[in-house]
Amino acid sequence: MIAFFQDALAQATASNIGLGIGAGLAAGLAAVGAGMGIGKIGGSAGEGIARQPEAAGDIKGNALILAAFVEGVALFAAVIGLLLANK
Amino acid sequence: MLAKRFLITVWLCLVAAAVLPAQEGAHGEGGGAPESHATEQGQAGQHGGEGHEGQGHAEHGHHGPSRTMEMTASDIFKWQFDHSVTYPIGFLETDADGHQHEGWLTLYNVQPWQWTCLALMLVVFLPVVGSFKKGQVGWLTRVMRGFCLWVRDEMVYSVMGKEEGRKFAPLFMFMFFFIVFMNVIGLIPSAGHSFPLAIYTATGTPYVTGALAVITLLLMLGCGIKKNGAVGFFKGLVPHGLPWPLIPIMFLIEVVSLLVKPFALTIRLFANMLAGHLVIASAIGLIFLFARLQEGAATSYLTALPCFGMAVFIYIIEAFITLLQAYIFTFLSINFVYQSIHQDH
Repeated sequence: MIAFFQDALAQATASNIGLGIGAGLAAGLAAVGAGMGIGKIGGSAGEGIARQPEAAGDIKGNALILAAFVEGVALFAAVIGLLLANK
Repeated sequence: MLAKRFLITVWLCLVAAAVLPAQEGAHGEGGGAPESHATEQGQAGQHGGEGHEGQGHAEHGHHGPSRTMEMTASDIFKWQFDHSVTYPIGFLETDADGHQHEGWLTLYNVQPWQWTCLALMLVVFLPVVGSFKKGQVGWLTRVMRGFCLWVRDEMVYSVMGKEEGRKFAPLFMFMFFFIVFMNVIGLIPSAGHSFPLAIYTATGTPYVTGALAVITLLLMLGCGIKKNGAVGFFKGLVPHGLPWPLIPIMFLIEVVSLLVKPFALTIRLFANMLAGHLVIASAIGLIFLFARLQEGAATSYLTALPCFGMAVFIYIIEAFITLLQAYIFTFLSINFVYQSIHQDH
């Protein structure tokens, strides 16, 4: 039983399958975090615009900028994923 | 409405022109794809056998088997992703052994498209400059005048104010339009994998965006030091009223954050542009993957439809993102420069 798993592990390390799994996890978890972050920004922006429609322009601009910050962090992870996957 | 339909039709024709030659290859009829591969392999051979540095690039354009039916899944996607890979196109250095390798002056496929953008900007914006002397202007000039005004008033003046913004407006206007042109030129669907045919998104490389971010960093340092003095600038990085043991730690953190800001600018723009293009390439690659899985049966036309729809959908999002990212890059640069001039805000 243990030998079977050891064989599988050896094969996996030989074919660098861990890199692919790591890249997938990096992209997926980053997407989860960015989704939560952008969701919060979008929700608050929508609420703010509903309460104060006259401030819609300002809120939209700020929301875009804030979303860019969140997205930037997620894209760091995406770049790392790309680097791993191309290794 | 009519104009919109016309534009969509033109775009679809362009995509068809880009996709069709490769698809002919997929159905084993020869045509465009083998030809482009022949030139590719010629190109690869041209700077093949380079030093260890050139090895990775020598692989560019070498897609293994040239027909979709003989490709593996990873071949298919690599073949699509090659559009987003930089490779040298000239001015390689020759070392003592006769090997060619990349040097300081090597020309990559990135630079010609930057020059193209600069030339396009000259063509578009010289009439804008001239329009202040002449009374009559064309429609494009009027649109671009509006754009310039928008960049100046909504981006530069709204952050910096009119007095200070006046000095910075031309620079940030140039930055915005340069990024916009480079992003948008990458959206043009192009056929072929080699240099003159394949249009390259220059902002899809960390080098170009990094250089633009270095301009921002130098502006932050230069203008901050000019306004506050060299000592005052670095003193001003640390917030007032801290207990003294915290000051060295805070200073370190603030210096790091000063350097991370342009780095984040670099990665944000580069990753957004590259990721968008890779997603489109993946959607197009799925067409060939499904054709491969069905061994070129006629039903692969059917499975190609949703993939094509997805590619168009992502393309539309991408068209929005190109403008948004240029806006974000410029707006954040303006904010960073302003913050380093007025440090207590």
